[in-house]
Amino acid sequence: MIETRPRTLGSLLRRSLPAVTGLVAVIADALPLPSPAPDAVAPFLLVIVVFYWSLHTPQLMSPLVIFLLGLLFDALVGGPLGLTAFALLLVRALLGARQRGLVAQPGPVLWASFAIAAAAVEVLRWLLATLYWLHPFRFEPLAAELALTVLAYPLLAWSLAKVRTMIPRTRHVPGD
Amino acid sequence: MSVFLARDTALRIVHARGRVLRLFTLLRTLFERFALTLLLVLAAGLLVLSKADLKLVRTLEEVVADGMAPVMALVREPVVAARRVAERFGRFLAVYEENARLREENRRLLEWRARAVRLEVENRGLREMLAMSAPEAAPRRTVARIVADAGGPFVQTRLIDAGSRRGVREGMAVVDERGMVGRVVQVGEESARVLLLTDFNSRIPVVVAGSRDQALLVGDNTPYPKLRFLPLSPGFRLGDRVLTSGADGLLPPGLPVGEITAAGEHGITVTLHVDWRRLDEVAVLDYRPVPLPPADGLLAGQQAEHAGTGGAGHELAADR
Repeated sequence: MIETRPRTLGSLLRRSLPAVTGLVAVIADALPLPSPAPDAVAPFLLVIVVFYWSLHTPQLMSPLVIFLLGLLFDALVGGPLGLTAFALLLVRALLGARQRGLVAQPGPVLWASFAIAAAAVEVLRWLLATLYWLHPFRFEPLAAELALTVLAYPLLAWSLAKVRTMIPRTRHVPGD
Repeated sequence: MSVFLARDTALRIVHARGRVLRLFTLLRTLFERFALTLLLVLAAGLLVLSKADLKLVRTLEEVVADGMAPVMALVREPVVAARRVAERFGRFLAVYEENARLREENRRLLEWRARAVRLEVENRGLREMLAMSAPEAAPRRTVARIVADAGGPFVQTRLIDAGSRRGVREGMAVVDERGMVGRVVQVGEESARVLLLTDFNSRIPVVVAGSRDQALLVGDNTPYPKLRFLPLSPGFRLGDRVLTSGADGLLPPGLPVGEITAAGEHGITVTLHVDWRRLDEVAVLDYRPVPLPPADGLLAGQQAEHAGTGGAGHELAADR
């Protein structure tokens, strides 16, 4: 697939929207929200954003962008550097071959696929964190975070679809 | 002749540039093809380096946190403002109950104030009688805003917008208006990371106010840390207050931490005083413990003592 080069600054900015939404998701994930307990969980928005763009415009959510977003997230929340980046990249790798078949599927199928991908991310993070700290973390908070993330997917995917309409279409070379 | 030379050089430059461009394109194609694998390996490598606690990784984390702290501070303002408006609205609805509660609290505080003044006078008198030195001055406080929240199930830390430039150092205690929140574990120039008392890595020496039992407060990633390493026959009771003991020489003694709310097979549970719902701002305490005597002086003193009693010691040893 060959894509047209962005010719104007406006076009370049619009093509950077997926990365920008990723950055917004990282900030929203790290934002201190009022919570009744220090271990309160919230939806993991970054995984939604990375999944959505990897599915619909993978060329604008490159592995390098995913890696950098993962690193930024880890550095902000104080987790070990590389943990989130590794989990997100592995899901991207798993999605890679199936992306073209999935993108044409109806909404509920995409939602179910996202649930599987998000579960894979969470299990991988749990596994890596357990190995990293050699501490048996409880899985319940992670399951709660996963449930909230899956519930948040339709709304965020709908918002991201609105953002996607602002991105200039890429030209596909026939036969590619 | 010189024209040919110049033409030759220009051609060489063009060829060299073409080669560099081809190499660049090749590298770019290779990177695009293997980017995912390369970055996966890089992320795994970073994890390993992070585990090794390399200075490079810590510096990278500090630089990112320093860069993002002002952005996060800016973004959090509307969130905090919205929450405060909602809180005010809620209080407005419950103004009569709130007023009655505050009157009652004020009455109790006035009683406590009278008692505190009486105890202070008594304490001063007793100190004078015993010729004790004046109590230590209160530690200097650096007020900071919480700008990022780790959340999630693994680490329980908060990022604050005050770092080494404002005098924050590793190990300092962090408190809110009610009690201790955690302590500083990583310091950048403009930001610092606070490890909450609830994190599974947190361990601080504490004392139970009623029984004077010394213990360690150990976090376990739940909102209720546990007391460990108590004396064999502890004398605490449920409801006793838990304070920092300062036994580690790093934290100021006497900081309120929480109270014992349960004791059972899951351990002795402490409910912290921290108000998590309103934890927007905290104070970092610059506590400087009484310095230990210099090691040289101590050794010199011991040697002098040995010199003075050495003969007697040897004699005793000879008798045995």
